[in-house]
Amino acid sequence: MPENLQTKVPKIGAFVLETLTTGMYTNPLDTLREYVQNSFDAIREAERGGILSNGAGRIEIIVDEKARNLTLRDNGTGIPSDSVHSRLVNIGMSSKSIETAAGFRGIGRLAGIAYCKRLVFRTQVNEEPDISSVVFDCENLRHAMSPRMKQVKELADVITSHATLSVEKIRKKNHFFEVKMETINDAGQEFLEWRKINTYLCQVAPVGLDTQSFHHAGTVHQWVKKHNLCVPVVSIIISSGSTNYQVFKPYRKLTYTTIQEKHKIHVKGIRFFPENVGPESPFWGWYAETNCPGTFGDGTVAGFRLRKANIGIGMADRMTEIFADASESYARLNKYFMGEIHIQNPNVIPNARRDGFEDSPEWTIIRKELVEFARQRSREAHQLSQARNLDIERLVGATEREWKSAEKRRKTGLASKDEKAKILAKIDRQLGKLDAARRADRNEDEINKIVKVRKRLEKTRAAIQNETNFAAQNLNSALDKKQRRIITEIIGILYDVLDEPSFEKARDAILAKYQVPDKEAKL
Amino acid sequence: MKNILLVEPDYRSKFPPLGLLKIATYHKGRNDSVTFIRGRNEAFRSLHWHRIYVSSLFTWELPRTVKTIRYYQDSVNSYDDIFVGGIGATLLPNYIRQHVNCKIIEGQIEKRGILGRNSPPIAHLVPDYDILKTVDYPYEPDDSYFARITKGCVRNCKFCAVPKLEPEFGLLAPLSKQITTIKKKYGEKQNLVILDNNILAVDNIEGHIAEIARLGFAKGTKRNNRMRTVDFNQGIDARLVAKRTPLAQALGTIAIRPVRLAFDFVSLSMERAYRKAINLLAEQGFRSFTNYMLYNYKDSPQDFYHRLKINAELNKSLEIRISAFPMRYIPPSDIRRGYVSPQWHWRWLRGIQCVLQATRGLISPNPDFVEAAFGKDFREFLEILSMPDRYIIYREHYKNDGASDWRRLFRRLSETSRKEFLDLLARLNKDRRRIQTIAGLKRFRSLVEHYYPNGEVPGQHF
Repeated sequence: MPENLQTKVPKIGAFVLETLTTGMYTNPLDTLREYVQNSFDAIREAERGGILSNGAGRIEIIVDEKARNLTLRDNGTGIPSDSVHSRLVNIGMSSKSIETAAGFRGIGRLAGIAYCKRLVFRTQVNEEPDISSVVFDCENLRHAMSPRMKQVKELADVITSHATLSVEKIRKKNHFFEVKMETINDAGQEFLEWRKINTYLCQVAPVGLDTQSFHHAGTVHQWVKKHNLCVPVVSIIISSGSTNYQVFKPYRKLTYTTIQEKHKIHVKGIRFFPENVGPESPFWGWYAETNCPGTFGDGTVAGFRLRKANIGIGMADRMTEIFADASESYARLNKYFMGEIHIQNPNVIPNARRDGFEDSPEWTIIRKELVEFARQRSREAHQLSQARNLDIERLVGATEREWKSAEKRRKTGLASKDEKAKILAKIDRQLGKLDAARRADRNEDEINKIVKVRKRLEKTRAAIQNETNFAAQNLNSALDKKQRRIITEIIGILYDVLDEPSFEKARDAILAKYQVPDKEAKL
Repeated sequence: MKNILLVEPDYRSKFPPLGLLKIATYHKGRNDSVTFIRGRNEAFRSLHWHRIYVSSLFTWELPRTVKTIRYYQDSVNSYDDIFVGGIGATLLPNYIRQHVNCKIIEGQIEKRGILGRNSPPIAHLVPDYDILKTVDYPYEPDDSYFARITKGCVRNCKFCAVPKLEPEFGLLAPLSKQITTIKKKYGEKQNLVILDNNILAVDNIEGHIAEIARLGFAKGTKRNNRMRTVDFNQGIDARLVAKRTPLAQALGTIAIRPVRLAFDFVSLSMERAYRKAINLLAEQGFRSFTNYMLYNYKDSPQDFYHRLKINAELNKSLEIRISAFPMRYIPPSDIRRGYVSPQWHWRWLRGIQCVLQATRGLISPNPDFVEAAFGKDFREFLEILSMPDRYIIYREHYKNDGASDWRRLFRRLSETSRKEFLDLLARLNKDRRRIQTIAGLKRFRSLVEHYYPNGEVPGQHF
């Protein structure tokens, strides 16, 4: 007889907590993303509930380097005292909806346990005169959940014995949520370096574009508005010592340099994709139109970035993979671009580590489209790069040689229709190179040179295009192939050594002797 | 919402840069994030700022100011986003303009539109003292209200920059209002620092003094068991005190400490006014005075010594303590500190600097100190100033070891030779090939050896 499982509640060991905290994230600062995300949700809830006016949401991150503390505080709804236990002590039981909230699993807030001595949550809601606090004794928690512990304890017991909940009465009405990491350990050193926090958050947090500095921010905003899209943002301010710094997305320049600082990248405008986007579209994006000379030297802007609810997913890595799917050699090209792709489809869900998306049919479809998009961008970058790699003098020189040889063929007479087609194709290739070179960054002087040689080549092309007189074809049929070739060769030599009138005289003399009289012409 | 960086170049400054603090108030009011730092710092340069403000002070620190501006130039999007203002920028805007691209604000921001389209005037704003807490620099004096009742000055002294900085004398916001606002925003302060250029020249000065008393600074007022003080930091005008006896009585009602008086030039009438002012104030029970003493302007070393003597005399007869702060004149258009007036020698200016080094610029009222430091008569005074640096600074150490030999040689020089010798020292000070020049000297070789042993600048350690 099978045992009745309902009478035996399965136990969960404390090791699981280790997986959810230390083992969960690759970068310690991912912890901050989890907290920012929770605050962001609370602020949006406050906005929806009318507690905060739109845009008044604020997250403050205070770094105290000397005391080794980090405090993150938001002015969102806060948590009512009767649900503090269930929401701050329980694990993985978040009541948040996938549809409206950015964070929803209910494990992110534990991430800080790995990096400090004490983790303190404090919160208040508008309706209550209480501040509730939950304190995690992280040092002992870490000890208890360490895999080195011989005796496995039950997770629930471990948490109960290392977390305390208290309530403090105060008079002031307020709403906030605060998390404080106290006495941060060496593994969490980055939490004390505000510049690193900024570098991280500017790429990941749901902050706004820097409209004051980024010339094209207005274009993006207008486009978003025109298409009824929603990009939720929150203000994040980092304070540390004398520093007060608001975090913005890192896009702010019109000129960047490539990673080896060899070339300048010029942002000429903004492009959007796909066409006909609306609030229901699975995704949309923008990217900078540039001369694409190479990898962006500024690592915070390089590459397409995926965002869900305006929170960065996996930095540039996910799109680099998608470029690689288009073609192995395209992988590096992602960082030739700067842009964002906002995933809107509610069924595309970030994975628990938030460095990618869960597999789902919706994501598979979007991904396919993005691979195609990456392929197009890569080709574009290739074309521009090839054009640019051509040295202008060499290009002009090659064009001149091409033009001379075409002129010679024209004057000495084309051998056949085939040869004509061949020559035209060659000229066309050269014209294409010229056009690409012109599109790539060139100064005026260089553009003038290109235009000049191009005009000449084009004129010759038109002349050849109209040529119907095929010299070799009309040679006397008594001559064999070799003889015919020798004759055309001799005409070529004469073209090289004689001045033009003498050449024409000589050519006509030769042709008169060896060519079949052109009957039609004579008629 | 913007990120704003306020920078004070890392020159030595005593007072907080009030202009920057007012700009902080303005920007915080607009919900901007404001960061205040001193000097050049890679951490802040590496970030992007929407706007950077750099303050300036002494004109001879303008090269450093320009260097600071350049340092941060790439941290903003355009040169129009770096603003430079303050005293140095107001006195010599062209110097900055020639060296670096930025926006220069001359004078105080009293009109609209200077910090951007339709921006309000900010000269009257309460400085944001909070940002001082965060910077690791000991501004003096802390725990004080800073306030100004007037701007400008009624005098037009040629050596002074005030007529150019604030050409008009006039009233600012009432003191009580300023104090109330500071108190409300930043809490109560122990002391009051009045920064007016010439406060006594204002109409109804007695009224203003009564207000200071009412605000909690009447003589003898304590807060937290400590005496509160009022500091008229730029000094009070001795001539105005001497002119009207009741004025000293009014000043006697408030807790001024120290009483600062300037004694900038010597004329018979000035000397008379100075003596009378000190007498009147001493009668009011003031004991502690400081005395700004301009030199290297149109004065001579005799004038300097004479003023020392007058102070010594007053100290003795009135049983007060006047500490003198000699202030070396530098023309307001100089970007270097090297000016030497026709009546002084470079060596003597240097000598005064050496004497003052030990006392951080102050001449103690102690009669023994004055005599030991500056000599018992004028001849000895000049002799001390002419000595090599280390013989002045480490007087006891070198008394018998070098100094006596030097004195013997120096006293042998005639009046004209002394002058030639002092000129030679000035030239040697700037000489880049000093060792060679000294090697080629035909006269004064043994004396010069005392200043530059083996042709080199002696280390000042033992």
